[in-house]
Amino acid sequence: MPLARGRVVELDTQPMRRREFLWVSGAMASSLFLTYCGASDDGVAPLPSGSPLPNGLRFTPLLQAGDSLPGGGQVGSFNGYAMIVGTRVYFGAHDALGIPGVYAGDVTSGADAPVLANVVKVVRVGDVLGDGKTVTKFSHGEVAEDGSFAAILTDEYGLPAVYRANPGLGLTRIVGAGDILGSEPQVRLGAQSLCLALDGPDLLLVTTYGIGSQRPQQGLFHFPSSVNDGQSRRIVATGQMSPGATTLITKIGLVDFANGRFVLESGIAGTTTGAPELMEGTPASAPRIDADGRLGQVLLGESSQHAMMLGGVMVATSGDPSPSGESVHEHFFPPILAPNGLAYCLTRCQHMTTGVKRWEFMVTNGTSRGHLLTFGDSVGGMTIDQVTGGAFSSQASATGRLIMTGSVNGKATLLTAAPV
Amino acid sequence: MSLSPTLLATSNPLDLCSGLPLFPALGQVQFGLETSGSFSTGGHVNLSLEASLFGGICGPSLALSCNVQDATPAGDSFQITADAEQAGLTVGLSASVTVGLNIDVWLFKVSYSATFSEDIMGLAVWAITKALGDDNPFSKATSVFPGALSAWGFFDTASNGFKNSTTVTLDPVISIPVNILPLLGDLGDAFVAMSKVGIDVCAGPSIGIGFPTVITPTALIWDGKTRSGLENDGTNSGVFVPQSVATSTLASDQVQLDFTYAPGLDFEFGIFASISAWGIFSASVAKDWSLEDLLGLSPVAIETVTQTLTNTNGHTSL
Repeated sequence: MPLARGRVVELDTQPMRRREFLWVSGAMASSLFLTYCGASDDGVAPLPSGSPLPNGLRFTPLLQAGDSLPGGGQVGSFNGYAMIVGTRVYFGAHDALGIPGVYAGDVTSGADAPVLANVVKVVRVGDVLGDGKTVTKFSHGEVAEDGSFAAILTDEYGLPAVYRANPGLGLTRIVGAGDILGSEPQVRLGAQSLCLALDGPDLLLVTTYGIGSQRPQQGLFHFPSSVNDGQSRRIVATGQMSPGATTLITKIGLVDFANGRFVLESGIAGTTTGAPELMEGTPASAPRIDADGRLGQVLLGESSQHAMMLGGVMVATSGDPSPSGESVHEHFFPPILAPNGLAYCLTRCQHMTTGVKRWEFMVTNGTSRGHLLTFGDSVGGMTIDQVTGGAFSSQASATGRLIMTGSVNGKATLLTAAPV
Repeated sequence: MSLSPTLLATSNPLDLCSGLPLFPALGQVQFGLETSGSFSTGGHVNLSLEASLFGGICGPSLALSCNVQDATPAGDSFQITADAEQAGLTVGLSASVTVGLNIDVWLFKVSYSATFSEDIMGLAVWAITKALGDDNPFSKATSVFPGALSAWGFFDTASNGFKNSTTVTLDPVISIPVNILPLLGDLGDAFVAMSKVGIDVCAGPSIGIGFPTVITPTALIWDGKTRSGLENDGTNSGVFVPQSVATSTLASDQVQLDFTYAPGLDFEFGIFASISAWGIFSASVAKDWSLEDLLGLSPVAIETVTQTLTNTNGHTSL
């Protein structure tokens, strides 16, 4: 079976470099950040420790370019969208004609390896929805713990709206451009919906909006139970004062959402009911948060240095040796937060002797790191050219199974990976 | 002398470009404009915009039309019928916008630049109309400005508002950004194609405008007498009852309506572009032009304006 063997590196091998990062980045891991991530006064769980690192990952292709899609088409390519909740997988694919769509299936046990079964189309460009709108674009989607899925779909007029697909119930429009916010009649949602996030039935949406003739702003909106009524809330928006600071918020950015807590690409975090807080450090990319309140993020220091943080602990920084033992880290993708305190992360590395840049996939428990894969590795008789782990949250199930798109043997592939 | 049906109007038919200046201190503007600028985010994800705007503006103006005649029974009371009001601005704008995108980070290496010249107002209004339905302040204007492919009026209209009220309020307000890339045919397809590699790009205009205006008739003069302190009698027939009557020097065959309006003004036009790559990063760049930027005007103070409309008693045309 395809198996990538792990190699473990203890974090304390390069303490100087981490100190250097702290210095150049202005001591970003200071009190406020640590309070949010690691203390218990606001209910945020500390990082579990001692979870053993897996020896490796067992990669299994589930679907590849040329395979059949529901409705008679064939897979042409995958666009990076791949999410899993339980055994339910949602993924984005373009068919052989280049038409994008979102599909769902179940990862089940096959005779020798997991297989993707019960594949169905969720929505495809060109579909006419129940409200009569024709889908012209799929721009963002997310899964919820109950197996449901929500996506930002754009209609034939270029106007986006959030639709939610409950298992077996089709797509229902939740809220979209032109709608009046249920709790603030003066707020009209605009036509730039960036992203959404789900936490059970609740929906968070980052989108533009206008109030009367005021300058349009970008805001984070909460729709409890995915309903736009008097309980909806505009949590934070550009043009407002930054939490605890004297500057104006200029960006909201991508959002992750779990157990009532959210984190934003702009470095703002909070709960759906409380006042937002400003996290310490400058995010290099969108942060992730899991149901236990564990935060995974990549911070940006001076000179474009990256630091991968997990649960308030600095796991690795640019310049640290990678767990492969052959290269040093340059940059990091956002981590995939997995059960048992583990996190998986793509990292851009540079080979120590040849200087060749390459991508590696690693696992960490916050204390140690293990090497899992280098792009181009041959494992189990197949060459894994690339995987897009960390492109979205919800890429690990509660059992630790990962779902990613990538390229295997030169073919676009949807693949799963299980720790061994 | 009785008050025969008489038309009192800024123009017939109503036309914003022939209306009264909403802000007399500013006067009206009716000319073409041209402005340009370039903006970028910089850094590894460099999203840049170069925008040139061409077009014209007419207004801001107030247009008002109504008929006045004797109430029944005849006396100092009178009736306002078939009143119609417009307040706002007519704009024609075309834009030449170049969206540049240069990403060199992680798995993403994209360099792209495209220019489109479009009737940006037409596209925006089309999309906004779809979003807001018929309840919006946009109307296609009859006049076309040089350099603009079409002209649109941002104005609110009302009719028969004086039938049961002493005042009429116009409030043309909207503020919404519109992603027009999907509407741009082949060019839109190019950006849509980026979605195949997980990149989502949006660009388009954002528009904010507001002319909250309250119109109040204050006096009607005919037969050499000024009827002032006007109040609607609440019978849903447009009858106004004066609280005082005084001698006027206006020729006895002339009819004059004195009225006030208290306008507010806000207008912004912007260009934006945004990008997101999977659930990893996003960036946006935007530029807004205010009316002050566009027209070189100073910020407008709220004021109450008094104006008059006159016609010969019994004339139903201007």
